[in-house]
Amino acid sequence: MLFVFQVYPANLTAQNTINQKWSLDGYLSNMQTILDIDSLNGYWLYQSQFHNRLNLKLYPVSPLLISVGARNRLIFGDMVRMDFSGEYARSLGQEAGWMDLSFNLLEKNSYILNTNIDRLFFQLQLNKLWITVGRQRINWGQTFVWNPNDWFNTYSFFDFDYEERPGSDAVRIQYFTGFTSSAEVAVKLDHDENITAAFLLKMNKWQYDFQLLGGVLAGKDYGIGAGWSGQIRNMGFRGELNYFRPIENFKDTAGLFFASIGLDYIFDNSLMLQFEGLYNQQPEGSDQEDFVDYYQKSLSVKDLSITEWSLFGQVSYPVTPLLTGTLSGMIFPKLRGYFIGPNVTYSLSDNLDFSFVLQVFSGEFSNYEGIDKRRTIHLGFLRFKYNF
Amino acid sequence: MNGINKIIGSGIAAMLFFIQLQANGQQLSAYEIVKKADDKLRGEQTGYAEMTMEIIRPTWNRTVAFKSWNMETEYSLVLITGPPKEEGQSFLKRGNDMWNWNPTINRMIKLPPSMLAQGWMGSDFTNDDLLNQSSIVVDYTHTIISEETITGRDCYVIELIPEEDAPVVWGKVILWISKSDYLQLKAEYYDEDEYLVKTETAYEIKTMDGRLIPTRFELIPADKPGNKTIVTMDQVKFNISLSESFFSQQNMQKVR
Repeated sequence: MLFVFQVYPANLTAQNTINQKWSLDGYLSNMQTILDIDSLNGYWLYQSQFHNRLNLKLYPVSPLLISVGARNRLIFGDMVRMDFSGEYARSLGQEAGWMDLSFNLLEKNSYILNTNIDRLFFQLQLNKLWITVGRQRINWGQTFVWNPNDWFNTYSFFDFDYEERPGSDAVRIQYFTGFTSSAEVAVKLDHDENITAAFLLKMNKWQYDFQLLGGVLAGKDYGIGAGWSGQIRNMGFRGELNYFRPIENFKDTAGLFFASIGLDYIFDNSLMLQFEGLYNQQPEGSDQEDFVDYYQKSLSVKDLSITEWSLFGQVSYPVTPLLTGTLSGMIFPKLRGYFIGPNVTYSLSDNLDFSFVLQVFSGEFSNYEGIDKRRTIHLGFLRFKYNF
Repeated sequence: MNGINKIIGSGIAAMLFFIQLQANGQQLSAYEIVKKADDKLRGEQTGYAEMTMEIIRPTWNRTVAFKSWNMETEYSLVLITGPPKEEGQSFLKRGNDMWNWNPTINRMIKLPPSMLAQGWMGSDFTNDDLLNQSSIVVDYTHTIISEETITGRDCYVIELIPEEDAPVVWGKVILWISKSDYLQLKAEYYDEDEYLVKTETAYEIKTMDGRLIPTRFELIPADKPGNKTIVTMDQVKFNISLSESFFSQQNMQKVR
């Protein structure tokens, strides 16, 4: 067992970092994945990945910040070995963004080395006005699992190994109107040169954060939205609402409505409970998606779950200060389906963590004959992650 | 989300700890001596500190480091500077509102009041202690019971017995406060049955920002051999120039 004892160099941090011209941090992880479809007794797909993330920040002159972030992944295992069509390799090299910054540096029969620059922006911090240009993460979410307000990069709850998420190729102008309020405008171009352009107003009142947003989503819909974070007694209470209506046939269509509402509470013994519900209106006559599609594709705020209604619950508890156990679950009523995700994370040292994660998806899907058949997918992950 | 309550806990602990330090601080009554010691670090408009907290357990150690800015008791901003996993996270408190800025996901998270009740990674400092510190002046009856020398300094030994209806968790507290500088050098906390629960000792008395203060605190729980929490003040500044605008969501995202 790796047991690296790390003493954090406190004296280094005691230095004044304000005058430093740059910073570099990141992590290195190794994750083993098994994937099983339908029966645990079948053939498991096995995959392994070394994942290195680097975040570089430069502060060359006073109001300017330059940020570059990259993830480098060495992937090997069955998905690569059995990728005879080259589709898997292509999907890794593919970009959702306008700039093409994902590169398969090496593409061999048994392994792929991919580099993806997912942050590349400069930011001018001019008193109350911030201007950010380039590939950046614009995160407008208020809830924790499904984020209808997160128009620029949606978060996938299942992809726990990539919490940074891809960046948006965008221009963002933020104006801080007060200590806890701001107004901003952001414009993003995606791979197909569709424009997402929106404003966001944020304010704090009655111990609640409120936000209001509106604009154009991916060149196809007009949308408005609102979100909040506050509390009911001691419980966190958050929500996000969206309404989209196609630009084409604006008069003839009713539009689609989306809402997520969540509650969170931490007990005195650190036990944390979270609940969230999502209403995700689906266009009439749309096909039922499969779990595999749901899991893999990059999410859009118009497509946050595979069913119209989804419910989430999670309990998390630090069994010891080093060992945290979490059990997450989702219910997809229309599919008589569920997701169960137990996981444990153990802190091996200040900088090294070990995680064991299971994800089980199950639901009834119509096959080509129109007969409902239960499909169950099992995923298992073992991960060591070293932060630096 | 797994790590989040741990991280949030550490930010809050940091915030509260600094408030406590402010709460810790000439022939006087026992009450006045305790008040003087209390005012030693408290009672300033603004403050800044760089701190390291080490949790020591028989089989493992963990360390967190942070910077903390305070204005009165209303405003606080804490920046985690280590370990790397949590580095860069910041916490803002403005009155009853609290936020966490997470640079990894570029998101501001409003924290519910239940997060305030959190401890940090099994540290021996509970938030309850930290929150209730300021009441050592108000909520207890103070009596000088003897005099002792602690690390070469003559001290008053003062017994604190809680007032009838005071909202305190301790049955008794004994403080050692130095005669010359009114430094609280040692404290013993007893439960309602008068059993010792934990001992807090201050070391490394240094002049920081022109003021003589202990810069290292060790907290040892009585019933857990080998357990200890050490807090080291790497830098402290009093009455620095800060305005309310420093404690903003904008500054949370850029403070270094």
